[in-house]
Amino acid sequence: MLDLIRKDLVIGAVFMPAVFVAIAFLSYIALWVMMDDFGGILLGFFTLLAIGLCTASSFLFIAIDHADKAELLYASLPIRKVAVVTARYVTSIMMLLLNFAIIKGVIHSAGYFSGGVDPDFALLGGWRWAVGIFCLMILILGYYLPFIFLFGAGRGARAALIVQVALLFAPPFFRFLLRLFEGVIVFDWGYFVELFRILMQWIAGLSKLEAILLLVLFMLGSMIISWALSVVFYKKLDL
Amino acid sequence: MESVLELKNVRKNYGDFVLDDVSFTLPQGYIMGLVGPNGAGKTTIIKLIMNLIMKNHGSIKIFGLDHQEHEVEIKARIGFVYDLPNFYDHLNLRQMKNIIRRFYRTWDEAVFQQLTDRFELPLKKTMRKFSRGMQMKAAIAIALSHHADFICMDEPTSGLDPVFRRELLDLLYELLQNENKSILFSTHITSDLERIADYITFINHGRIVFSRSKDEVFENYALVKGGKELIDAEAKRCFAGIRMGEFGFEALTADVRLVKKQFGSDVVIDRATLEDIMYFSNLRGEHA
Repeated sequence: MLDLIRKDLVIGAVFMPAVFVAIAFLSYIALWVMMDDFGGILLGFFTLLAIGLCTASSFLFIAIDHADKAELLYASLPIRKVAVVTARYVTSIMMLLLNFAIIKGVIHSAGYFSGGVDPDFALLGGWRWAVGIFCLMILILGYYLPFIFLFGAGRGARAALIVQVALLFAPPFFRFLLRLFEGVIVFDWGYFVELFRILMQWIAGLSKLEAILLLVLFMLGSMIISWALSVVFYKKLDL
Repeated sequence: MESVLELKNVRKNYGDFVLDDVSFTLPQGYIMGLVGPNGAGKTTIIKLIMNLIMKNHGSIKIFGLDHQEHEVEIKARIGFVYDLPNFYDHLNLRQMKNIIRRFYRTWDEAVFQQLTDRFELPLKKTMRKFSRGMQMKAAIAIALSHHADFICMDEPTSGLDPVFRRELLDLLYELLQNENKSILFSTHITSDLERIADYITFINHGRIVFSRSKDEVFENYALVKGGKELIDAEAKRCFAGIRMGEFGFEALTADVRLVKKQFGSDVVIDRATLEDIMYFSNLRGEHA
C-alpha cells in the first residue's frame, strides 16, 4: 500500500504546488474582498468556499489516473484490490488535510495582516470550526469515493452529483407529493419531528468537547462504512 | 501437458455484446495467438484473464490457480501489454519504471536496461512525447523486465512499424526458446501469428470459432475455388464461408477431405491463410 501512496505523490508532485497556490490565492482574495467590499467576512460563504476548494482538489490523484487511463495499469499489477482502495482513501484524506492546512494558514495570516478587526477571525481561527469543517469535508469525501469505485471516476462523480442534487430536492418533492395526494396518502410527520426534537435536545445537553467527540466518531464510522462499500464495489468494477 | 492458461465456459454479458461459452487452453512454453475481427471479443478475453472485468459464468485458471482467488500471486508472474497506452503523460520512462518496479519482487534492472537500449527508448523523455510505437515498446520493456512466466498482450503489434513488428516477434520467439515462457497475444494482423504462433484461437462475434495448433488449422482449412454452377444448398454445407463472384465462387472449408470427395477435380483447392479464415468466417457470421 505504501508503494501506491508513493505512486500518488509522484504523479501528483507536478500538480500539487499549483493546486496549493490556487487554493491559497482564491481563499486569500475571497477574505480581502469580503472585508473590503462587504463590510466583513461572510462566514457561510467562506466556509462553503473552503469546503468546495478542499474537497474538489482532494480528487486530484483520481483525476490524474482517470485522465491517463492508468486505472487499468495498476489494476493489472500484483496488488490486492483492498490496498488500492485503502491507498486512495489515505492519499485523498492527506490531500484534504494539506489543502485545509493551507486555508487555515491563509485565515491566520489574513487575520494577522488585517489586525484581526473582523470578529469572525476568532471563529475561523478556532479549533472547533476547524474540526467541524474538516469532519464535514471528510464526510463529503466518504460520500463520493464509493460512487467512484462503483462506476469508475468519470461516471461515478457524475452519479454522486446527481444523487446529491436529488437528495436536496427530495424533502420538498415529498412535501409536494403529500399535498398533491392529500387525503390519499396519510403521513404523520409528528413521529419524525419528535425524534428530531429528542435528538437535538440530547445533543444540546452535551458539552462542547463531547459534541466534537461525537462528530469525530460519526465521521470515523461513516468513513469505515464508505471504505467497506468501496472495497466491495471495486472488486466488482469492470475497468 | 501442463497448461498455463485454462478458460472453461466463460461468459461475459455487456448487454449489447456477449462473450459466450469461451473455452481454450494454452500449454506451457507455447505462443497462442488470439485472432478475430475488431469487436470480436479479444480485448474482453484479455481483460477477463487479467481480472479487470468480472465474468458472469465459467472458470479461468492461470498456472492452475483460480485467477480471482490467487490474483496477486498470479499477477506477479504475468507480464502485460495493452492496446492503449496507460502511462502517466507527464512522467518520463524512468519515473514510470520506478513506480512499477516496486510492485514486482522479481524486477530485474539489468533486463530493463538491456531492453530499453535494444529498443532505443529515451529514459528522460516524458511519455507524452513518445510516439505510439515507442509507448508500445516501453510497455513491452516493462512487461518483460520481471521474469514473467506468462506474457499477456493485447494488440502489441498495432501501431508499430514493420521493422519493429518483426523485431518484437523475434524477441518473443527468442524468449520462448530460451526461457520456456508462455505467451498469449491478440492481434488482427494475421501474418504475425503465421510467423510465430504455435496455437491459434479464432474468435468471432463473441464466440470461439476454433482453438487449435497452427498446423492443425492449416491442415484442415483450405480455400476452394470453382464454377458458380457447382454451388447448391447441399454444396454450401461443405463451406465455412462462401463468396459468389460473377463467374465463380471462392469459399473456405474446414474439411478438405469432404470437399475433395464432393467436388473431385472440379474445384481448385489452395492453402488458406489466417486472413482468409477470418474473412470467410466473418462472411458466414454476417449472413447467418
